[in-house]
Amino acid sequence: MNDVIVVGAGIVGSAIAYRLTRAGARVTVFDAGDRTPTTATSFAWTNANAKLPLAYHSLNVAGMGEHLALEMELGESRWHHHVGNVEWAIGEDEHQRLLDKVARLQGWAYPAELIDRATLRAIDPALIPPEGVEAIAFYPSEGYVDAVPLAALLLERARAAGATVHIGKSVAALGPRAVSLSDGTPHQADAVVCAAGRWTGALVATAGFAIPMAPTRSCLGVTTPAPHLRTMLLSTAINLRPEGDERLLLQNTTTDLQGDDPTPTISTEKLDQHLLSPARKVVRDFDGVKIENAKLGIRAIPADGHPVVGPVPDCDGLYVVCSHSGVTLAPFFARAVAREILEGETERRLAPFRPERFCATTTSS
Amino acid sequence: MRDNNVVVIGAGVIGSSIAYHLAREGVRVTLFDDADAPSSPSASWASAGGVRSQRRDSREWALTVAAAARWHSLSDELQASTGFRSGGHLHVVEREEDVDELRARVEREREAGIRVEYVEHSELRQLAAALAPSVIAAAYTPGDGQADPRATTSAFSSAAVRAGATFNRTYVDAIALHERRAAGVVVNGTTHAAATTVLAAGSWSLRLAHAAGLNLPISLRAYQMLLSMPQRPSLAPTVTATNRALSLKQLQTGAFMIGGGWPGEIDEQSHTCRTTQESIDGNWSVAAAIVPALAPMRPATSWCGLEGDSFDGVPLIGPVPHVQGLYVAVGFTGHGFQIAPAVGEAVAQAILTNCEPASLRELNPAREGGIA
Repeated sequence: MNDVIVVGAGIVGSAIAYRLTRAGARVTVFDAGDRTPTTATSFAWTNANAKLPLAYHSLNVAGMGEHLALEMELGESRWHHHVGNVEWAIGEDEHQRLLDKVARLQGWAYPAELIDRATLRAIDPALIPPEGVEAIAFYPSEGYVDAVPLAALLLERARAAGATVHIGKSVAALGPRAVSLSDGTPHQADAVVCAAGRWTGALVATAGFAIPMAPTRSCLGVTTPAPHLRTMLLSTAINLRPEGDERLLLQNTTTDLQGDDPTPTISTEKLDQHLLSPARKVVRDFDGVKIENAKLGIRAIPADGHPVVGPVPDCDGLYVVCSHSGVTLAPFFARAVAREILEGETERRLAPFRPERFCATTTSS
Repeated sequence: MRDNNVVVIGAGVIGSSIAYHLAREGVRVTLFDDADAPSSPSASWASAGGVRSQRRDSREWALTVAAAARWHSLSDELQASTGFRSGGHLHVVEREEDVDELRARVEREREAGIRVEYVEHSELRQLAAALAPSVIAAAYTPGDGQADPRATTSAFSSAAVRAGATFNRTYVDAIALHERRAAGVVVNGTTHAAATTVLAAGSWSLRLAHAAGLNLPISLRAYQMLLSMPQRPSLAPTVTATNRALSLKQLQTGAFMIGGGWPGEIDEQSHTCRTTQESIDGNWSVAAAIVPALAPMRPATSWCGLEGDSFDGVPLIGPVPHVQGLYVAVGFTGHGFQIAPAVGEAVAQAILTNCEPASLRELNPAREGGIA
């Protein structure tokens, strides 16, 4: 089990290529390179915050641990910003849900606490909880990652350690221990790992297996220079965090924007409605800040919302990794995949997330 | 001596510091290491990065005092961040019967020039509210703190290169020996000649010395480290404790880094190590006894590194008896990081003057029980 093809060079594929190469495999990476990966349109929030059930939460906690290990291993951590995360709730329903969540997370020994307004001011004076905020939570272990540079760094480290990287070569079909490129060229290996993000469903279908996908969308915008944020904020109306160069990244997850183009033209009106207006209500001195660059985030989510990781049934040597929370989970997936593919071990924590579960669904319906 | 060239084997924090201090004196230095930057399982990679000048063997006092004077401006000097943060260091005690010994030790260290004071009660709580109520007193070194061992190592090696040293990223096969004289190193089958050879290869020193017919009185040890998930800042000083195998600090990320000499498992054949569940559990529970906030949590990640433990607990630094031209700086026993700046300076001085600085006198490799 020495030659491995990795399909996809987003954060997940790059992390897998890096880990497999370090573990001694001869890795070849293919990526079409002509489409914006979800890695580039992600809020890139490292967390195990609202991940249910416990098995999925634990996977994300393991991902956060592997991020710390990766920083150790690479001896630098410019890409991972351990800023902590603020969440607040407006209205009675949200309030109760937040209290329940914090209690649940504390019960799982996940760092989460309820804080008062004075503590919030100490954590980040730039954030103003609007009227009606009844509870504020803080998650000190959470943060964000510069996902594109991290993916690039991992891919570069893989390449430097001997991996062959083909960006601009699109894989058209997957098969037993083989892929064929869109120009018809076949490539064989001892194993193929499909880490094709939101294209996973379509690609794995070429190997005769159905992974239903249910991508959701969010509206993202990088601002012009804005007030400095020390932490990040999660709320129903708006998510926001620093983005470097004095910019902020704003995200609205309740967007009504549709389509599959991550870089559509979004009207000034929509940007104001989705991003700027809700941000103005919660960030001090935000007046005059504009959106410099807007994107549509299209998430790579299997239909039931949970990761699909493991050998694809009835297709020898084909292994699939597809998940929401790819940024948090990539280093953990990479470690697990390397262990399962190269050493034949089984990662127990992945048991609930195997591809077979979809097989069961389709045969019963 | 200035006209001759020196090879340093090992670009960890010790070897890099030696190379830097030699290069800045105009000595032609070549630093050999196959790794670009500290990597697993080297001690400079695995290190907890504690900058602690107290509770050291008296034989290290001169080095630790000299090093303590440099840490605060070391980033400026090396033109690269060491990540040093001066939150102080607390060595805590939990039992009344340990207080007298603690106070006596503080007195001895003060006389040696170490900036250390005895603290208790409200003053202690003010310094570290996160400590358990069982902690009753501490020795406090306000100038101590923590730094990033990987960044510090790279800062030294880059500064060495800027000062004219050559960093040769090659694996050293052997020390080149001609009769009883070291003549450089063998790399890729050819000899890279040098007037002086410095062995500072951490855990790899054992093998290199052995192949040269030298028996270092050092044993291989795997030191384990743990990291918690990041928490809100609650502990500025780094912490050690009497009667507990513990070193503990909160990093800038908010994560608690926990160590204290808990052993990992060594695979001598592959020169690697792995953590054990027993050490992870044991180390975590000791940490939770001193910082109760850790009690409900679990480690986010763990690792271990290989180090050389010296026969008498302090390093062997200086010329090797009966082998001309060979110096060692080995056996740092898990506490070489803080003294690294002073070790580099002292070794450079020893090589330049061919005369042993006072700070190294009691660490001479030929001391009783040392290299025969």
